[in-house]
Amino acid sequence: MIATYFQQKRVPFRLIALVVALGAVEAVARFDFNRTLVGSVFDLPLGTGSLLLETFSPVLVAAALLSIDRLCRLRGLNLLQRILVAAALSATALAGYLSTDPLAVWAFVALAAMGVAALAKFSLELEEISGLGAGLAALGLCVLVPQAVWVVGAWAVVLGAVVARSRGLSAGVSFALVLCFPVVAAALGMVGVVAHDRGTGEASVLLGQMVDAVTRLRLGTPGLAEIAAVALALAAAWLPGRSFGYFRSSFVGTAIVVGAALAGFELGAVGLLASTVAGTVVAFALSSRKSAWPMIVLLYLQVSILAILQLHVFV
Amino acid sequence: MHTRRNRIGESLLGAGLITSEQLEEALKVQDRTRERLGDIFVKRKVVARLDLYRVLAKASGVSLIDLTLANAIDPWALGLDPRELAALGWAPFDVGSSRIAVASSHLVDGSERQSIEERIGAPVEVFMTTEWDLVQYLARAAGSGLSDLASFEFANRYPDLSAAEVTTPRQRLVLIVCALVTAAALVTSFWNTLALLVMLVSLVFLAGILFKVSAAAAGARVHFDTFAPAILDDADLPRYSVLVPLYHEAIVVEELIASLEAIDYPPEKLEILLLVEEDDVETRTAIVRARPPATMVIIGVPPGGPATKPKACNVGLVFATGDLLVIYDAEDRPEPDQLRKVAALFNVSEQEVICVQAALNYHNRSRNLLTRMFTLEYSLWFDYMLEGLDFLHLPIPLGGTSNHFRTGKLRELGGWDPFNVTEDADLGIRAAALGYRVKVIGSTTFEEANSKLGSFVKQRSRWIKGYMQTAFVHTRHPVRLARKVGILRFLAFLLLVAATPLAFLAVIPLYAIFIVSIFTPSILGLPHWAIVVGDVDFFAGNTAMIYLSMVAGYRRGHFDLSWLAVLNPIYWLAHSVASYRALWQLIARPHYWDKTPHGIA
Repeated sequence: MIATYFQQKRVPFRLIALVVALGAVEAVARFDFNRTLVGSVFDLPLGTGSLLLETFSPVLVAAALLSIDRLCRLRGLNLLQRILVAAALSATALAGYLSTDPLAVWAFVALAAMGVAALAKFSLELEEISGLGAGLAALGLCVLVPQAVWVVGAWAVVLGAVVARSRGLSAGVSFALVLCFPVVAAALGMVGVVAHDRGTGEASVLLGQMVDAVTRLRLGTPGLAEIAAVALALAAAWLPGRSFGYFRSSFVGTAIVVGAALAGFELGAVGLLASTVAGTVVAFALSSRKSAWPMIVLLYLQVSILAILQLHVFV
Repeated sequence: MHTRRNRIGESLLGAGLITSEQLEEALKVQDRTRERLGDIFVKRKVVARLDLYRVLAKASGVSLIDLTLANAIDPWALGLDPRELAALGWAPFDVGSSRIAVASSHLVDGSERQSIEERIGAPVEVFMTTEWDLVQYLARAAGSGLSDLASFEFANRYPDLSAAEVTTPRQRLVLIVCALVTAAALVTSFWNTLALLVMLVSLVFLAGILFKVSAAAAGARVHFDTFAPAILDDADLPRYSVLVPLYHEAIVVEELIASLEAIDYPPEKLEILLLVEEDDVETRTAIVRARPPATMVIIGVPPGGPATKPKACNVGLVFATGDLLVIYDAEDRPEPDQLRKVAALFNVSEQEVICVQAALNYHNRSRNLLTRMFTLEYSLWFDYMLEGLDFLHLPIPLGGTSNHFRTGKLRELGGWDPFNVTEDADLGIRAAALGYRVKVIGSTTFEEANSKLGSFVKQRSRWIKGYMQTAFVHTRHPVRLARKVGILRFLAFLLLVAATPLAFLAVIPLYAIFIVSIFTPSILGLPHWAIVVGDVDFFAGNTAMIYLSMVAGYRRGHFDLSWLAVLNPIYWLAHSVASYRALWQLIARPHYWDKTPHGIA
């Protein structure tokens, strides 16, 4: 109904995106800078640079929403893509939530939306440039939230695999590379900055410092949330391709979400779990319809509620 | 018209040169294309050109003359312009005491004969010759005058737009003052000045990169096939001239002819002018030996003036009769339907669109690392950058080949500047400056990538030198240009044409600073901020270009090449070396054309 209203009234999705994005400002303003890649490199005190983030993060989120908007405008979403939308948003919301950074919820959603837009566009037109958008989003995201590296990696694998199925292995590898490269480059760049700041001119010291920098970037250990996101994304990408059928796929996908959330059962996880499962089931059910609008709107609302809850209740 | 048709057809039939079935078929083609029956027979290889003209001459009661054996009469000496003669289809070839002998490539009726006599100012005797012989004869007879025309007419007509004089006195003064101020500042405060320079260079570098990223992102929004106008019927297709400048290309002649023969276009609406330098006997012999089809004509490019490709093209422009015109290089392999696609695009485009640039890519990309990198670069440039510039309505520097023009508009623009060694890029900018537009099309011409480093550096230095020339030419009146084209397009021109050589020049110093600042920062007396700005800028710039190249390789379907984009910084190093060679050449030999060898793939 909401979607129909939007469509009939032609409420500009961009405006909605902007309004919701502005809502992220508060979260960003309260964001602990020291938990970010930038913060870990520069040892910035809390609050430093929040102005920059306040500017940047809403843009990122708005871009994500615009990508969803674009996705909606694309014709002929198939079952796989619709399931991917549902799975991606659920998984990323989960990952964002469990990583306990308020910003992460928004950031992961942004990444997922970019990735989904990339996949949908790619599948429809074999147009890989959407990878550019996804890659650049991933770049910005990983600078803000180091854990996103794992989600980016998962998305790269998933999308690469999907591409490989239709266009061959080299195409899949190449696509994954395109998606991952900005993140790798950003990480290297940050490592370089750290090494440079501490450089004494001796190569051995420099190498040691680079290792130290990598450690400080906290890229080495994926958390449970990231593993869950990877697993769900993988399952969502591959299961429909098997002879599982629609309902069995959705059950398996949901089970993975449940399992992942249970494994990381901690404060607040119950609410998250219920919401995610409900959202996923609803999304799967709705995904059989021709329009992807209801699914996207519902999932978006779900994620928004989660973010607000986390921000105002748990932080 | 029908009588004429039948007369030629019947004459050929009577001479036993065609069968009645062939006549019927040709008449059908004529109905479809509305072209001359004789052209249809010749260009569809039904009748040899010479046989046709023999029959025509006999039927009309005039003698057939072999102009290759005739003495050349310079039309300029008779007050005749060879450009007009080429269009009119006749030329004087013998001056007698009482009459002047004129060879015509068509039947001349009474009124035309009178017109010829009025032009020449004397009685004429008309002979018949093939259009092939006529064109070659005119190029030979017009000789030095034609060479002057091709070499200097542009500079005479548009001195402000010609690179004959690369920099104006005012520009030289500005450059000298800048150099002196910089030198003085370096002597006074070396490290601070160097820091400022690093900052400036970094900003230019970054601005250039950002512009490229923006243009590529815009290009990414356009898919090649987003807009593909319906292909025209044969009857509606315009006449097309294909210019192929050749110099020491004997080795690729057979492949060239095969590629051009593969073009899918009604042959009677197609003419292919092979522009061969007069001293290049080897190439000419190879062409003759390869027995080119009737659509191809060899035109000798007379010596004199700068020995450059644009000069040869200007000679070709004199003789081109097509409504549309395209340039191909010797090693080009255009997609067969390219001309049809372009004709369709022109047909639905506004008149201000005077040029359509096809994409270029390489058929020998797998030969070695250099050709692979070259392929990635071209994929980025033609598939993203130019698409983006087109999308944003910004000036487009044309690629060296596969640029299709409205012939009349090209003549209005003055053709190519023979003193500019990237005459194509210059022409694209000039078109924009004069209010015209260039579009790009999703059809590809495959070329031969340079596979040898030395040759690559030479080729690249010519291109960079040409960009420097173009930048100087079009910044002679910067305010005027900015007012005319708008500030956005002016900035785009600066970032695209002027910033590119600067960025390449900056690569080596930035590399040096980058490496030294990491390993032995203490020897640098630069302020910390300058090092950070330079390094971050350099790193971000290279990363962006790597990424764009990677995506471009992917879009082209060169999946095996995408990962090689990470070697872009090394590839840029070769560009940087070339840019210093270009700078030196700009000063020492500004109009020297470094010939790129082909056929070594």
